[in-house]
Amino acid sequence: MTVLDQLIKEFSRLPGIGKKSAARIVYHLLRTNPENSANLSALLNTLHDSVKTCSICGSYTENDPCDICSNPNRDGSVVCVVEQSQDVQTIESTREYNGLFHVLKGVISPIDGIGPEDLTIRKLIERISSSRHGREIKEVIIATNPTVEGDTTALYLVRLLSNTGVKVSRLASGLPAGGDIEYADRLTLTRSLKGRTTISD
Amino acid sequence: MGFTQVKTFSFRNLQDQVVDLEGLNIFLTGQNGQGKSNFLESIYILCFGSSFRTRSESLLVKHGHAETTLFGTYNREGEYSNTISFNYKGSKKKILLNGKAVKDRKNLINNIPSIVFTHDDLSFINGTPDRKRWFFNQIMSIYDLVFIDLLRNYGKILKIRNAELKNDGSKLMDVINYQLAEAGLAIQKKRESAVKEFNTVFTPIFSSISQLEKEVFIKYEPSWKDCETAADINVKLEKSWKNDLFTGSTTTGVHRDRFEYYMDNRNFSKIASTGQLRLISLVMRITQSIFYLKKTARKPILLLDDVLLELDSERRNRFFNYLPEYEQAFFTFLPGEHVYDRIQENVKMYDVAEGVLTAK
Repeated sequence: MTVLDQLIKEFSRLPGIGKKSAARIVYHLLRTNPENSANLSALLNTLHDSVKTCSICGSYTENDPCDICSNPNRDGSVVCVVEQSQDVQTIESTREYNGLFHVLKGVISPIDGIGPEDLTIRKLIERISSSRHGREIKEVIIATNPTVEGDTTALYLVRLLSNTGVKVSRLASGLPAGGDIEYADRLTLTRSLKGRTTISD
Repeated sequence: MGFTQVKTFSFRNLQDQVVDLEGLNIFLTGQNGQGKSNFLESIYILCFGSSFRTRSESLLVKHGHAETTLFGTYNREGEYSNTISFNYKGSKKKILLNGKAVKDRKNLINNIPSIVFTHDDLSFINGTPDRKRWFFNQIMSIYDLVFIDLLRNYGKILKIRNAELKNDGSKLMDVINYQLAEAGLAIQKKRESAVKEFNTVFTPIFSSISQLEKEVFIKYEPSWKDCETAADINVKLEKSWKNDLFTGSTTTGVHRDRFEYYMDNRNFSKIASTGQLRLISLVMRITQSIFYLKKTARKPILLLDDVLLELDSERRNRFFNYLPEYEQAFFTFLPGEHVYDRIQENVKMYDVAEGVLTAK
C-alpha cells in the first residue's frame, strides 16, 4: 500500500468524510505548499498532549481548570449541563450565557449499555454539594438533546437533584426562531403545542 | 383518477411489461397462480413502498434475477401527472417520487392512499392480539401522522425499559416508567377515541349486510385498564415491576392492548361462522376507507384480492352498496365468476395468464 493510499484510508475514517472526499483532501495537500502539510502534522502531533479535559467541568481545554471555570467574572451560581464538549462551544457562541458548564460525556442509554455511572453525574453532585457559600450553585440548566435518551437523562437528573434545593430547569423545545411553521416537523409542532407559553403584558 | 400506467421489471412471476390502466374499475381475471395478486401487490408497493404480503422483500425479485423495479404514473385531481418508482436490489430499496428520493416511508403514506382487502385480513379478526393491534395501528396511521411518531417514540422507550430490566437497573426505573407512561397514555387516548368513532360506522354497516339482529361492535381493552392519568399508569408499572424483572420484559402497556369483536357480552370472533368472520374483515376495510375519506377528504384506491368468495350472493350485493367512493379500484377474480356484474361502467378488463396482462 502506498503512502497515498494509506492517507486516503486514514482520512476516510473521519466522521463525515467518505472515500472520495478523502482522496480530494490528500490530492489537495499534495498540490499545495509542503509547509501546509508539515504544519498540519505538527498540530496533529501535539493535539493529545496539549488538549485535556477540564478537571472541574469536563470540557476540552489547554489550561486546567479551563478558561470558563477559572474566569471570576462568570456567574458561578448557574451550571449548564450538556452532553458533550462541543455543546459548550455551541452555547458559548451565543454569548448569551454567562454561567458555568458541566459536560456529561454522553447520555443515559441502556440499549448501548450506558448507565448513569458511566457519565460524570457523580461529579456534578459533588460539585453542587461542595460549592461554598458566596459561590454556591443555585440553578442547574439541563441542556441535553430532546431525544428519548436525552429525556431519560434529564428526568434522571431532575429526580437526583430534587432534594438538593437547587433550581432545575431545561432548555425549551419547540419552533426554531425565524423559522416557518410550514417547515416544522410534526413532532416538533406537537411538542411546541404542549409547551406553549402564555403571553402576558 | 388514480394510476394511468404501471411498468414492471423482474417482479415476482410477472413478465416485464407496460400496463395502461386508465379506468375507474380495473378487473383482473385469471386462473390461480397466474399473477393477479402479484399485480395488485405491485400497485400497493407503489403506494406505500412495502408489500402487504411479505416482509422479506427479496421474495419480490423474480427467481434468478438480481433486482426488481416498478414504475407508475398516476394523476390526482387538479395535478400534473406524477411518477413513483420502486427499486429493490441487494437488500436495499430505493423509492423515487417524481424523481426525488423518499427517505422515510411515512412521507409516502398520504401520497397515494390505498386500502387493500385480502384473504389475510381474517387474522385481524380472529388472529393474535398482535395482528389486531397492527391492523388498528395501520388504520390510525393512515389518517393521523402524529400517531406514527407516537408509536415510534413509545417503541424506543419500551426498548430502553426492556434493556434496563435485563441489566437490573432499578436506579433508572422510575424515570423510564414516567417516560413510558407519558408516551403510552397519548396512544391509549387516541385508540379509545378512534375505536369509539370507528364503531359508529362499523356497527350499522355490519348489521345491514349481515342481517344479524344483534349489534356487533369493537371493544378496546387497554392493558392499562382504568388509567386516566400518567400517575395512574405509574402505579401499575411499579406494581408489575417485580414481574417484569422476572420475565425480563415489560408485561403491561399499549403494546399489549387488545381489540376484540363483541356481540352483547360475548366475544363474537369465537362464535362467528367463516362467512361472518370474512364479512367482519370486509366491513372493517370499508369502514377504514370511509374513515379515511372522512378524515382527509380524499378518496382512496381500493385493492380487492379475491375476497368475496366466501359470501353468498345476497351479502355480496349488499356489500357493493356500501363500497365507499374511490379514486380507482382493482378487483381480481377467477374466470367465469359473475361477482362483479354490478359494476358495468368505466371498466377495464384484463386477462392474466403466465404473468402477462392482456386487455380484453
